[in-house]
Amino acid sequence: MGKLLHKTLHFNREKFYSKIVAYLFVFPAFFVIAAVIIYPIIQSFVMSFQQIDLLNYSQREFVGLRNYIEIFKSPTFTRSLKLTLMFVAVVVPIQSFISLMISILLHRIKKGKTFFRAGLFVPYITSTVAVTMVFMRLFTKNGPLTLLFTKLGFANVTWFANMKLAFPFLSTLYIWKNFGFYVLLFMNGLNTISPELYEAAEMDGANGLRKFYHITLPMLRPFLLLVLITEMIDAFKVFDEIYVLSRGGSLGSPAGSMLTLVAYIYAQAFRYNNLGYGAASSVVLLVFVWLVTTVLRRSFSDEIS
Amino acid sequence: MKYPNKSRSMLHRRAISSFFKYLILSICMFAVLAPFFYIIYASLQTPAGFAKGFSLRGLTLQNYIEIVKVSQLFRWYFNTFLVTGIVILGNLILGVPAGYALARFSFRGKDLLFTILLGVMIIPIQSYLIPLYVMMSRLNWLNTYLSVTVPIIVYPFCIFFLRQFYLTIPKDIEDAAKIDGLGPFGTLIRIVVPLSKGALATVTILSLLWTWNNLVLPATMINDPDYYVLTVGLNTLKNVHYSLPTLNMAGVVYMIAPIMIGFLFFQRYFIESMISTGLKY
Repeated sequence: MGKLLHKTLHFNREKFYSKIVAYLFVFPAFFVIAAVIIYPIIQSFVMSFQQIDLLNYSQREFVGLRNYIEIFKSPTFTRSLKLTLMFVAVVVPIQSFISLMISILLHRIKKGKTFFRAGLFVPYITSTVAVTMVFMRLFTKNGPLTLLFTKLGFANVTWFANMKLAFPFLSTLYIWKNFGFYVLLFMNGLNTISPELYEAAEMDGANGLRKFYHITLPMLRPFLLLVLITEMIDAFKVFDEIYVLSRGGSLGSPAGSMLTLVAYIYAQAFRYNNLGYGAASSVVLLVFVWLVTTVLRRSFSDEIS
Repeated sequence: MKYPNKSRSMLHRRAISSFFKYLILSICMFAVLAPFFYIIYASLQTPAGFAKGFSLRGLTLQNYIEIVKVSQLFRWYFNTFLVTGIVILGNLILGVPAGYALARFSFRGKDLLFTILLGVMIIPIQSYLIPLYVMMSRLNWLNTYLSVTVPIIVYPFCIFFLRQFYLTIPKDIEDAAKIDGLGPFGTLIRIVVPLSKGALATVTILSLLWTWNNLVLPATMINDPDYYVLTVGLNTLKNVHYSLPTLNMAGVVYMIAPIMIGFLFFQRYFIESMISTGLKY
């Protein structure tokens, strides 16, 4: 009896000890997450209901929904939101198409797979500052790519300073930099498709296009969704390129043709000292990310079941 | 005759289709890599020679020397290495125990912590940058290394990744260690860490890329040139010396060279690490 009691006591002590250890293990990381991520996110919501002057921070004023009403009334904000959605709508399909096609090509070749895969991936790991600086030179007036495009009827102007060409410039730069990553993700998906399916189709005399429609696309659907979520959210928060292009001047110029949502947030907060507006538009960004993820995650799990 | 007629024509078709595949891929490869050759070419030209048009004559390393004179390039290099090093170490030291505990231990609040992790993992820093800036300013951390390291010293994705990894390794080895009298700390350091070299490489590479290339955080927190990292420093230099593309391109080479060299040697690890981030959403 005494022996048994001793045993249970010992057992509980070990369990208790292991719990303490678990807390010790998770505490530092989650303390940091709470302090520099969760607390600021909550503050973003709080600040979106306040009027704040950074130079006079202690005198914050609760203004209810005024910041939201003001930004949705402001043509600059609604334009930036439209522009961002348009950017997503243009970039995501083109980028998906290019990376899907290239990943299929890569999947079908025998030699040099890793070579091409690595090469196409290089821009993705290169700093956006570097990439944007180079593209600014390539697409400047008399720059090599500007001259090349004059042959297709484009004007010899600095693309990113031109109201009509700034948006295509940004999209081109963005797709060029990022598509290699999505090629990787698609290839990863293609690798899960059993080659026997293709062999069976070939026996039945299916050609490349039919194989694509009847095997590749349906088998790739879950991956396609996953990649689409990633692409949409990443495109929605485009900012670094625009920051570099502004050359320290007004963000999103010329004439706001590249003022995306995040650029708007940044400009309101750090250029115009309208922290309340910035916070309210940050909440819009949060809601978008949350919406895209939950909606697509849900359809993703429907897909599996 | 080795092949009957029909399969011979099929082989012929295969060869043509294979040729077109390689042709398209090579064109893509050229489009992707040409700007990098342009960077190197421009960085080796004199400003006058560059303006005249393409020529491989009179190439010089002058820009690489000049940029060190007109900017604090080496100081920015040092800052970038320091900041990146701190962030990598931080993510390893804080991330490994947290990921391990989430995978292996049972304790109250574990599910809640994991849900929180899944949530914060997808939230872009831009959506809480303003309060973060206010916080750093009130702590008097602006223009110090603290403001550009502490906010990213834990990348939630890294904890998530480590947790998923630890779920896949068999528990037997740890149990054996326990029987041999190793405590949980000993097990973590002597058994778990050596077993997870691949996962640690992923955390290192992700932290390296996300920090080395980070622009928005240092651009917001730092305006003292002594504390610039390369991204912010070279962007500012470009704004000041906009008329000197050759100088700027030398700066770009300085900035991207360490990453390119790392990629050359650890290509497979870089690619696998990035693929793992595809599971984020």
